[in-house]
Amino acid sequence: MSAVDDPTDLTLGSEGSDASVAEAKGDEQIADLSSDAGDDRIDETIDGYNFAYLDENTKRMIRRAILKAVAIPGYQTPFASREMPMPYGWGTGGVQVTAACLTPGDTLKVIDQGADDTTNAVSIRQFFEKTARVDTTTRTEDATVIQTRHRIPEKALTEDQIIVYQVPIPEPLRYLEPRETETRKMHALEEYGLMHVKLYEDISRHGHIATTYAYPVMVEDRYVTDPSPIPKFDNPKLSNSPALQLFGAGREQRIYAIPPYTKVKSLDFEDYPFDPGQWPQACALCGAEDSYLDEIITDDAGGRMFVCSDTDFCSRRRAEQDAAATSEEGEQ
Amino acid sequence: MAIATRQPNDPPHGQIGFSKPSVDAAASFRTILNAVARPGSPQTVAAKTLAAAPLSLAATTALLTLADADAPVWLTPDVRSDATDHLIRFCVGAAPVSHSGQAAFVCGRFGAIEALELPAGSPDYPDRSATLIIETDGFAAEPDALALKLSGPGVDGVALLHVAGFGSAFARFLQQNAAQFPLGVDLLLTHGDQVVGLPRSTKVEVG
Repeated sequence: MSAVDDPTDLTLGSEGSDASVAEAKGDEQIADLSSDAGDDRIDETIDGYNFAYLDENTKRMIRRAILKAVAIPGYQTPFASREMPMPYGWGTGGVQVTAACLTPGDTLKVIDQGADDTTNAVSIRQFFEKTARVDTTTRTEDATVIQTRHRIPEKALTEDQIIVYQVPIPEPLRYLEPRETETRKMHALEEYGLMHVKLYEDISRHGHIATTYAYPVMVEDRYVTDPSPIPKFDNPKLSNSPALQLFGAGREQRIYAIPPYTKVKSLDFEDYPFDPGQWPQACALCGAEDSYLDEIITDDAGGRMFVCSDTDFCSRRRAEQDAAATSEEGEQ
Repeated sequence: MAIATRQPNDPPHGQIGFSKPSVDAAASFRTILNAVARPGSPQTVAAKTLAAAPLSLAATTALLTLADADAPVWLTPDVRSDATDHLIRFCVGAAPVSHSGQAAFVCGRFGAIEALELPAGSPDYPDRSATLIIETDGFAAEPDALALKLSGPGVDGVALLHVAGFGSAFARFLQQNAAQFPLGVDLLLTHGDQVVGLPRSTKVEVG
């Protein structure tokens, strides 16, 4: 790929200074090469591995797929998914998208069902600490790239962030029509009646749309898309988000995207509008009433509590409450 | 086309290409990704290579970052030179294609691209389409620049983009392209170290 193996060669010699290739700013550009912020980091990645694990050919292939995915919001772009050093179902698609996007200056956050401290999140975070030497964080607002399994952080994302979703089944129509040739044709013809029949059958059977996660959305009035198994509670956050949203499905070899400020509508009916759901109780730990809650079983006698699934959100709210309580005591 | 042999007065082709392919390509890709995700907002590529004249630094960087043996490049005749030959054949390693319809990336001035037959994808696979890297005369808000109002995915409300060097034919091209959605080609406009993304999803009005 590179024309020059030794970076120290990259100073303009007497031969190059009058070259027609070097435009006026060519000299400055070459001078810039030596002061690269990522230089010392790249030398520290584990021996024998390329930056961010994947080889450059693979990353280029994934990058081209990501750009096409962004250009066609909601369309599932095929890509040649590689075997990763983790089993399918553990985020191989998300990891490949993240690897293709990471730069040495990034700060990475990885969550699994909202938690920073579960096995999947910890192992992926450590994977990129080793192979890309990027900084990692648990604080949502400090991250530039967030890889997530099945949640969107409670804290609103910003324009400077990319969120990468791990996707098990990217095809929203797959459980209705198992043949890829057919679902591809259905997307091409914008033939989504089957999905509405499914939602209607929910209503006729349960009295309401009973789909609670992986709730299908319409992206920019064109493609019906699976938002990955996030709870439907998170669906409103997909629409008009300032952050770029990328979706990677490793086993199914698909990448898709929702660009920033894109209209995303959860499918529904006029008389049965989409309802993101809510809880009768607040978080048992931090008292938040507007976050997504997980049910935690506390004993064998039916004891249970509901707590925030976003551990960063919950623990920092509690820390703030503790700090406020301490300062009040101090004043008394 | 025979592979050109180096002459004593040739430009320093050895300085075209990334010195640290992995991290340079990563940084360049993020710039291009930002450009495509936020149509109409000029992004600045970091200088990680020498520009392959007559191509701009941004166009050179985009080809180095995205093209390879699996993604053929077609240059319009007006931007072909020894330097671009070196860029495509040696640095990028892209397979030579004799027809623009076979290329993943078509790069040059709009005047030469306008009339080309370009892959726009199929209804089943709209992603199998060309990406155009079009050299412009800049994005400054000058009176004679073409002013475009952009809306659609990636744009918060309406974005205003000025493109110097193009007339209304370019705006018509963009409108026809957007009207084919989800088919169509995707554009990267380049000038100097700046790149602007105009994916097919962007709706264009002359402002």
